[in-house]
Amino acid sequence: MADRTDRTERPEQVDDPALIAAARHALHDEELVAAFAVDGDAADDPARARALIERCQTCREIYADVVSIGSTIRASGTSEAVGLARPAPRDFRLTPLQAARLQPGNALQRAVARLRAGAAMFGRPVGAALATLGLVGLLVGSMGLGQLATGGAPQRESATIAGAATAGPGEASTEPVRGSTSGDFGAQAGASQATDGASSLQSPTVESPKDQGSALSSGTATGIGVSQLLFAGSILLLVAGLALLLAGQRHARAWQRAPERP
Amino acid sequence: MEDLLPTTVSEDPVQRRDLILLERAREGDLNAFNDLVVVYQDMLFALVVRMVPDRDQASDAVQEAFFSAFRNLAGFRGGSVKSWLSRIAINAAMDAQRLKKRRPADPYPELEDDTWQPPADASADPVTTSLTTERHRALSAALADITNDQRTAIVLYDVEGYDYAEIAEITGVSIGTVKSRIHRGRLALRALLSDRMDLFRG
Repeated sequence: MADRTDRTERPEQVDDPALIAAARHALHDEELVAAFAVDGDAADDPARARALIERCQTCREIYADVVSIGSTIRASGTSEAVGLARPAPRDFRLTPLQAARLQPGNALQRAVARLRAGAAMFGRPVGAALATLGLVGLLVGSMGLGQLATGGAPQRESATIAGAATAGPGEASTEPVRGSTSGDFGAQAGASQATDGASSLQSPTVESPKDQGSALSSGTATGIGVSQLLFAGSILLLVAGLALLLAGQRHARAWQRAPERP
Repeated sequence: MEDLLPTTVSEDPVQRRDLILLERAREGDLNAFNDLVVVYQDMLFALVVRMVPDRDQASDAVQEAFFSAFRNLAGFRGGSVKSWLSRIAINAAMDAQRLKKRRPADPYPELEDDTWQPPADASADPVTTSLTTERHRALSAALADITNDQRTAIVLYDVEGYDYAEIAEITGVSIGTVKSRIHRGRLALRALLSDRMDLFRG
C-alpha cells in the first residue's frame, strides 16, 4: 500500500536533455523563425524570433537552414540569366495560321485572315508544283507543235501507206487507176506493198487519199488547237506558279529571319 | 498617337526597341511580334519551367502565354514589355499547375532536370562545381515536391525578385498569404532536404 503511494507521489524524471529540448521546441513558432530568416527585422515579431533563436538550439538550426536554402535558391540565377545560358527547347514564334486563328475580329475576318495565311504558308510548295506543271505543259505542247509543223507530210504519207496496206488484194487491183487519176504515187506504192505482204490483213473500208488528206488536215487543225490550248494553259500555270513561289519565298524569308538577341 | 507615347518617352534602348516592336505588332506585323518572341522566349521558358517542373508542360504554358499576349496586344498599357510578358507567362504557368492538379497521373520527370542549376562558371574548381551541382539537384527535387502555391511564391520572391505586394497582385491573394506561402515553403524545403542539409550547411 505504502509502496503504491510512493510511486504515485514521486514526479516522473526525464534525464535526456535532447528530449527536454525537443519538448521545449514543440512550443516554439517555427514559421516565425522562418519569417525572420527571410525578412529579417521586417518580419512580424523580430524580437520574439530573435529570442527563440538565441535560446533554442533547434530554432537556431532552422534559422540557419532557411537562410542557406534561400541563398541557394537565389544563387540559381534569375530566369534572364538562365535563359541566356540555356535556350528554350523549342521555337515559340507564331505561324501565320496561328496568328490568323488568334486575330481578334468577327468570324468572316478571321476566316479571310486564315485563308491569306494559308496562301502565304503553302505558296511555295503549291507554286513550285504549278510552275513544274506549266513547264511540262510547255514542253509537251512544243513537242506536239513541232511534230505537226515539221512532220506533217511524212505523217500523212505514212498514214496513207498504212491505209492502203489495210486494203484487201481484190481492192488493191482497182487502186492504181484511182491512184493514177489523183496522181498519188504513194497510194500505188502502198498498193504494191499491200499485194506483197498484207494478204492476211482485212479491212472493211478504205478511204480515198483525198478523204484521208482532208481528215488529216482537220486532225492537224485540231492538234494545233489542242496544242495552243495546252500552251496557253501551261503559260498561265507557269506564271501563277512563279508568282506563288515568289510570294511564298518572301514569306519564308521573313519567317526565317531571326532578330538579334538583346 | 497616344499609343506611341511610351515609345518616344522610354530612354532605355531595350525598352524602346520592345515598344517599337509591340507597336508594329499591334498594327498587324506578325514578324514584329515574332521578334519579341525570339527575344524573350528563353527567359520566359526559364521562368515557367521553375514553376511547372514538367518541361513539356512548361513549353505548352510558354506557347499559351505568347498566344495570350498576341490576343491581348491591345491590352498593353505601357511600361515594360518584359514585365508584361512575364506576368502573362506566370499566369499561364499557374493555369498549367491547376491543370496538373486536376490530372496528376504522370509525375514530374526528375531525370536530367537542370532547371535549378546555376549557369556554369568556368573559373570554379571541380570540387565546388560538383558540390554546387549536387546542392542544386537536391533543391530541384525538393522544389518539385512542395505545393504549387509555395513554389510559385518562392520563385517569384527569391528568384525573380518581385516584392510581396507584386506577388499578391499576380497570384490574386493577400500579402499575408504570400508571406505565409514563402515561409512555409522554405520550412517544407528544409523538411524535404533534412537528410541532405549538410550540402547546404557547408
